[in-house]
Amino acid sequence: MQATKPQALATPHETAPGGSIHRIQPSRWLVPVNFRELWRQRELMRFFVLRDLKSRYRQTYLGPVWGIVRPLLTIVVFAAIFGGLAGISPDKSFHGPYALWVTPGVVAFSYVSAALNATSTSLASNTHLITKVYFPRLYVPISTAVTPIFDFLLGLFVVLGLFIYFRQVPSWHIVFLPAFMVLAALVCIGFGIWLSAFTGRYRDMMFAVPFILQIWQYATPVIYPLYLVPQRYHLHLLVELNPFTAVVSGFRWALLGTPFGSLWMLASSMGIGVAATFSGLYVFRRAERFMVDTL
Amino acid sequence: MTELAIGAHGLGKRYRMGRLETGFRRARRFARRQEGPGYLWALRDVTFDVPVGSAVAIVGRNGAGKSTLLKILAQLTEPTTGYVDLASRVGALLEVGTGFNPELTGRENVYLNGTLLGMKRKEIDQRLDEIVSFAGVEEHLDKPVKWYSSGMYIRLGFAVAAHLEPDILIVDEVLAVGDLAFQQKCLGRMGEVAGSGRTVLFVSHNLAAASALCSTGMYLRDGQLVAEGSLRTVIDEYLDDVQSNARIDIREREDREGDGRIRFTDVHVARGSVRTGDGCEVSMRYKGTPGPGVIRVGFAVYGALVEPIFQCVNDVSGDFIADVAPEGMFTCTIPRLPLAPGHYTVSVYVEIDGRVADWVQHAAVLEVVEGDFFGTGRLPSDSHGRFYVDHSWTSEATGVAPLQLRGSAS
Repeated sequence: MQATKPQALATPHETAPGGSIHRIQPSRWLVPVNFRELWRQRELMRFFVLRDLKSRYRQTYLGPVWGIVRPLLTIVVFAAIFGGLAGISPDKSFHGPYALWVTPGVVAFSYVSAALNATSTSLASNTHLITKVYFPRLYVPISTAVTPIFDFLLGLFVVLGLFIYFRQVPSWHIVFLPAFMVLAALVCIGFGIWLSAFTGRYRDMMFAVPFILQIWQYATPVIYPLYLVPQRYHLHLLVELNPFTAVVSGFRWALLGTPFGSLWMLASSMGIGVAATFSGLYVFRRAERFMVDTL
Repeated sequence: MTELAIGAHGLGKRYRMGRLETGFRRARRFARRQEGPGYLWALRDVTFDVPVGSAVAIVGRNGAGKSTLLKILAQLTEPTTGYVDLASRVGALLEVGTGFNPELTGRENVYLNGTLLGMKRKEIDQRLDEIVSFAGVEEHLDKPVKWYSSGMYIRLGFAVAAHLEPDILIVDEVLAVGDLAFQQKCLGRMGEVAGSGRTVLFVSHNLAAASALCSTGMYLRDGQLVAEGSLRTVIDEYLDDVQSNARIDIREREDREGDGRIRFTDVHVARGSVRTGDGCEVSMRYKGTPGPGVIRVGFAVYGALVEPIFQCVNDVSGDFIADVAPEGMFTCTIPRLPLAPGHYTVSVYVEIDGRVADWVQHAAVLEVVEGDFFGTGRLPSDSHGRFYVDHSWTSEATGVAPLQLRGSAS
């Protein structure tokens, strides 16, 4: 060991009056989250979202229309395969076509997969920023998880279009839709922060995430109703513990008025979202220390 | 006692060499009793104080730890040992136009960049006009910056950072870009910042610019702080080091880069001194196991303030060299050396198939003495330039043509 260890009790240097002294030193295992700094630079969030939206559809012919085309085609394919060929029936209380029934789940889960896919690569795609200037890096995964909400809003036009096409009216529960959007964003931010903290160091996650999300969609009642999940082997319990089940179920409940499921499912989803976000903050702070050296 | 802007104590930064080690690899390494991954101390036990309102230049060769020090001060990375106390806001300008997004307009980028650098929206509002006129992009403010010329882009980037008015401004080599007029403007702006009681840390290979801006300096060598104090003495010490290093036998130099497939064993520049205007040969002996491959060999000549002057590389001169013997000599012939009299240092470099084999900075001294460059026995005064250029003069009248030609025309 060539360099001397810092003495924690060394005489503090005299510094300029008025200005708060900021000390840079090797951190211990728990790095505190600087909420004041996050608040002070909250504008970054707006600019990152704006930047991502502006550059997302550059040099595309259809531009934001992709936000409508993608869910629409997915719904058509799902309706043909799972509703038509496989003959999966929607919730019993729902008296419309499968295509309409599957829509809220598709729109909700496409937000989830867009958000998580993007956050897992968010640090890598912002390397030029992270290695050149100091700013609260937490805004990178957080803003990346929030940006796809705009695609989700476009997806709502698809929902609206299908309601008109099938001559149905949405349930009055629709007023709760924003609440479920917040829940979806919360869970995605939580998972997203964890993902980005790992991909900062292990790029493997960038390959694993799209694949995991594909599987996860089938573990979430997107194409099948919750009541079809058998009780044996606690499969039901597993599906309900999945935080995205409450999201998908909630979207469907809000738009179509289908049964939601149990309230504890909602509570556990919220709990997982909050826990993932808060633990994520600290995991990220820890990973942040060496981010610049490894990116 | 003077107030301090920066107080660093025992600062050290260690980097791990090579790839990330997983648990499995570590276990296997222990089982095979192999050595662990190497570590490199980029910075070692650096202690210094910077008083408020001073302008400090940090000098040192490539790889001496300057960038690592700045990265720590800019909070980009953590030190491995020691600590730094910073009084209030640091504005680090490690790159011009950091985070500019080509799709956003100039105005949006100013706000994004300013926010990244820690400004509040109100502060940016107040300074927007100043920033825009400094950069001279008034008409293009609401166009996406992808349509900007590279000059406009750089100017806007510097303008944002220079108007942040941080208490501590850290500037790294930004002057390497932009045209001369803008470089002067940047230097002027940094002088203003320094003059207004703020603290400036300046890293540049341009020692002349550093002397213009700073009064004190720090000299980093191999990650250690070897001199600090008045910039003049620090620069002298640095230059002494460069010169004395260049006089060391190249075989004994440890501070070289490259994988060592071949190593230079002798660099010979025209028996040490050459007359300006005379021909000269630079011979570089080497030894090693080069293997087959295309050779790219060259040298660069530096002036008294370690400023690069020119370089000679075989791939630009069009001399193809490949599959060399394990021991041999590269020779570069300069038919007529145009350098003004003075002391110069020469860095040597060789690459095999695109990978650096050996690279020794300031490996030899080149002394140029007065000679008859123009064949007239005269030389211009040496205060004007470092080069002589072949030239000739004529004179002709360009006034109104004589009257008698009028009749013959039309």
